Amino acid sequence: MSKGESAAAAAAKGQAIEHDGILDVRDLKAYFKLGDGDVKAVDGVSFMLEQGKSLGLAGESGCGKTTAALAVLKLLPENGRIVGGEILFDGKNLAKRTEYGMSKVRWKDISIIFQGAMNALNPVQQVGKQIAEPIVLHEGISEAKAMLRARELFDLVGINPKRVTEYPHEMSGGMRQRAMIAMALACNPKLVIGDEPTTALDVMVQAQILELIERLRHELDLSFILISHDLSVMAETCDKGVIMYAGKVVEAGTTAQIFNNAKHPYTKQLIKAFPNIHETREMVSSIAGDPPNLLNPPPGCRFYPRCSEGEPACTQIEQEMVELDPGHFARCWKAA
Amino acid sequence: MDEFTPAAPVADHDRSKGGAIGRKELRNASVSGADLYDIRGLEVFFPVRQSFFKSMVATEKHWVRAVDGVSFTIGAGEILALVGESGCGKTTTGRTLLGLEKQTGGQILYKGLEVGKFTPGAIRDYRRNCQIIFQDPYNAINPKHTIFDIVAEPLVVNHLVANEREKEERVVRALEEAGLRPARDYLYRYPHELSGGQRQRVCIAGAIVLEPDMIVADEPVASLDVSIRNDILKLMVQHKNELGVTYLFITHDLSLAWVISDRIAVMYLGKIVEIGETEEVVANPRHPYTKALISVIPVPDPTARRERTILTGETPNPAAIPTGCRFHPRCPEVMDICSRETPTDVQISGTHYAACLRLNGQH
Amino acid sequence: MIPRRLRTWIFVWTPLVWLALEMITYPKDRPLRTGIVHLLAGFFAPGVADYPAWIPLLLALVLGGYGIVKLLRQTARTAFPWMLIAAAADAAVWFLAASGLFRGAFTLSGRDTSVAWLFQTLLVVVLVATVWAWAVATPERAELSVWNIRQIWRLYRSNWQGMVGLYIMGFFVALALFAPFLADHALLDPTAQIGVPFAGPTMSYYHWFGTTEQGMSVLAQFIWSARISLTVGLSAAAISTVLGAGIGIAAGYYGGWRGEICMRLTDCFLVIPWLPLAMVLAAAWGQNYGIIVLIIGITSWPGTARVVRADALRVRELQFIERGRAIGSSDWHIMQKHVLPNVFPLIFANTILVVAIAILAETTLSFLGLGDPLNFSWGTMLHNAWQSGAAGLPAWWYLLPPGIAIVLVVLAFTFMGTAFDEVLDPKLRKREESGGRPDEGPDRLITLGGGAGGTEISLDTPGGGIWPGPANDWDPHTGEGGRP
Repeated sequence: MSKGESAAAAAAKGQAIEHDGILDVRDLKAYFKLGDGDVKAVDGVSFMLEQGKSLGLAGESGCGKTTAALAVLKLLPENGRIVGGEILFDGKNLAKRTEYGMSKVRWKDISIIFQGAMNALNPVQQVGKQIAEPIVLHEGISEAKAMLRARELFDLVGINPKRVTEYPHEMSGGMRQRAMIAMALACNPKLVIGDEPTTALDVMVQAQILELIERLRHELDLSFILISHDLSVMAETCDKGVIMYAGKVVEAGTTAQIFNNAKHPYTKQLIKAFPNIHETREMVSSIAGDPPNLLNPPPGCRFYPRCSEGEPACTQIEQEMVELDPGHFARCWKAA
Repeated sequence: MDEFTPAAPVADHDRSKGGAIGRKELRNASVSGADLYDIRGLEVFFPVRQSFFKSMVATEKHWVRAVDGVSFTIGAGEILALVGESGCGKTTTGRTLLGLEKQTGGQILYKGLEVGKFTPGAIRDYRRNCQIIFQDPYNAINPKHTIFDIVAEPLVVNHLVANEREKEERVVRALEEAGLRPARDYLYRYPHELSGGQRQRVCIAGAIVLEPDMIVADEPVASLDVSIRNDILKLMVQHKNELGVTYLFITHDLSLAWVISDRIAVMYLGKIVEIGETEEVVANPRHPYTKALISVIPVPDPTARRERTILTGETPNPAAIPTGCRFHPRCPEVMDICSRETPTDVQISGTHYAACLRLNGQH
Repeated sequence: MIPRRLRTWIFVWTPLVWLALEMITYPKDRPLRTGIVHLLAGFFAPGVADYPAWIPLLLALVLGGYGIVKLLRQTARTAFPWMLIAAAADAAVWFLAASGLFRGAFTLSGRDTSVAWLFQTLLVVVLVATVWAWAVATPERAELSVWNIRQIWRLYRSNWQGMVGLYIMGFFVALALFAPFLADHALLDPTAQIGVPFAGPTMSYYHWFGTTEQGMSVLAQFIWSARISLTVGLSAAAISTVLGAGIGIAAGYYGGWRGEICMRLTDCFLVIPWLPLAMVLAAAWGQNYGIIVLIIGITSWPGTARVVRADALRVRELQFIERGRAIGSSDWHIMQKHVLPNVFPLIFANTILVVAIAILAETTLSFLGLGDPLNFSWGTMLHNAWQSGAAGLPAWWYLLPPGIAIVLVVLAFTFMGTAFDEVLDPKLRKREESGGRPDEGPDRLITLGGGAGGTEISLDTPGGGIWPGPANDWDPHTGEGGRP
């Protein structure tokens, strides 16, 4: 971790070394092996999440947000690996844990709702049984007891408990997503990661699910990481936010800081790409160009080819996180 | 549901003949009174598939009323947005206009002529004037064809070009109008070599190449990245302004519809609950469903405080539509009468209409 | 201009194709091992019945071909189908002449008339001119086709099964083609004894595989049998594929009553017992390989049809089919241009397996005695061996060669089939050295990972499944789903 980042991280925590965050990711690097080279999907990502708070991990496709989440749980595909950095969960470094060690953490301490999870249910098995399965595996109780717990979980997420015996095709998309949330909460985790949990849902159902997540967060004192490409959703539901681009964090801070006082050019342009229906009507903006090839990322600032405020010097200096306000960081030397 | 007062009179010959409409009449038809389409009481029902025994024993057929009496007009050169959640019938409506679904009732009047009465030859000609863009650019084009083949196909199938040179010219022009420049670089590539946004542009080029009057865009940007999304939306507005193409923009995202459309129609469970000029409808929604939708749409502003009306439950199954006002089980402003009477359109102002029993007697 | 690589291919493959055609129809009564010399001598022989006036005639043809190309440069598009028809007509005439049907008897082992070579030369020239004209008319497409073929070959080459299959197949095809030079056709005559019946193998060339029950050379029979076995297998597979794919696509694409009719038709043919049918037809029409080809063809196409139908059902639901309808395509156009290319990889892989099955089927039928007693295939050899009690002796030199050959050939086709399965997916091809821009879209990250046997990366990519449609979907036809 660079000097600027460690200072930033320490300052964010308000202390020198200790942290009270439940999850502290420091300079995480996760690469995929591809042919002769490595795709640097996550290249030095740091963020911190306190107990009971929600963090939004936002960015476009290919920025590495899903990979970062999978790396936390060490669920990367075969050709992916964590190359460097630390993942401190409750003080323990998950990056160094073995598969066996991770199996103790997964679902019991950290659980994840995968992208398109509502379509990942086994179509030939009752939903209740699928929720009971991790409970039986982790807590070793009988299946009958686990089914009872499944009913409780259904109630918790707002589904009629009698529906545990239904099959996935008998439930609507919103219901299935609630079932997936129930599954994620099955073993009472401390941290839940939601990877685009509402992307495929209608706006009303999305509002219901987000409200549900909010309620659960407060009831169960959960910490939540919301991964989304939708900045509006992040703005309305998360306390803190991290904007990622091309495998790096470009801006971090509270959502109020990011949206009201965005400093990185990418963040500023990305926010303008989301319409605000309560303001004056204007055409949403776009960002020309494509994200860089992560096999051979360009030197210097990775956003430079698409940046409206860039200058040639941006390609020569490796950008570091600069603290602009307490807790508000941006990876742009012009922002300061 | 009562129909709106038609803005343009029905063409004379339609009434007198009562018979089939052929290609010549279609060619001679012109847009009268600035209405390209006049849809009246459109109904599209699907039969519910029953098991063999049930179908032998049951006395009546059950229908899924996907589109249940929808009336609206589409003016030439405007963007009309059809907004609603899944199952509201917006996609079915759009597809029926093209003939991809069969209408079971009502009338679709294209330039004053009733589409249901077209001869097969006239239908072929009509199909050229009304094209569609699908949601998923990954599935909407044949992965084994080159871009040239894909965009040229409508020309080839309809025998619109005499030789190779003309075909290539039109394809290149269509690709450039869709924003793929230089077009020649793209001609001989395969779809899987392009990004999602580029593929969607190819789909748009494939629709534009026929120089249609109207394009039905069925969730054209739902599968795309946010920054590409806006390019496609801007392209649609550009086509409207420069080429005079009319767009029927079908989407579940009201905020996108708000950004680019001239008029907006909100649908719920097969009916239009509110329709009007976009700014007017969004600033002054009168139907409880519209009000709830607008209130829950997230905005990129964490400090925004507003009352969010989150409806309970989900849209009911269109095979089992509630009695009276179909929205009444979920309506936050429901009254007793709502479960018994079906609401009709109430004019709020100008072209702004809403169908809610609360509005009867008030403006 | 025509792509350089395509030009190289044409120059290399044209003589090879001509040579193959020549080999297939080489007169069987030419003396062994003087054949090559004779072939070359024929270039200069003045005789009319042998290889008359080679050079001037060839020159005339070449000039004619060049003229055709020049002409077609102006109207390539419209002339292209005509050229194909001309080529097909010429091929038909060649086939008839070469197979001796003009003289009344169908035989693949050589021709009596020497005029057939004229037609095969003409055929080759017309084909070359057609390809040349096409490439000149649309150089970009030619470039693309060349690139596609190279990619397929590159992917295929990296698959060990495919290569093993190809080598084995290549060996047996060469054996079949060069049969006239490897074994004197006269040795197939029932009176041509070379030694004592059931003599074991010795070092003498024709005794490598010993002798049959009549003292004939097993090696000679073995070599000439390759032709029959392979040809029957390929022809039967061709009939089966054309019928099966056509009906399968129609059945899959058309739902409703048309599809039902196709499927019932398929069922009818599926239940036909091929063995009794073969026996009945052999008894009625005589024993020859044409019957066998026919039988295998009409009893194996239902299998292909079912498989193709299943895939056509899948393709039918893809959205570009709907787009095709929206732009006004006819059903025929959609089936030909959209369904067929997407179903083709399956058809091709299936065909290769059908060839293997057909060869086995032919062997079975011949083994049961339904083959032509005057011609030899491996199955017929086994039949003769069995009948004459070779197994009891044990005359292993008589039984093993045909048996092993069958096993190897079937294995080869099976390997090739599985290799082609993997290879015929355009998404697996990389655009590295073509003239286009290097692809920078995020899509590339997925395609690069999914090579033969490679693992795929599931990175965030646009449209790569992360934004499925609104999930609160209901099926308008069943009214299911969408419930609270």
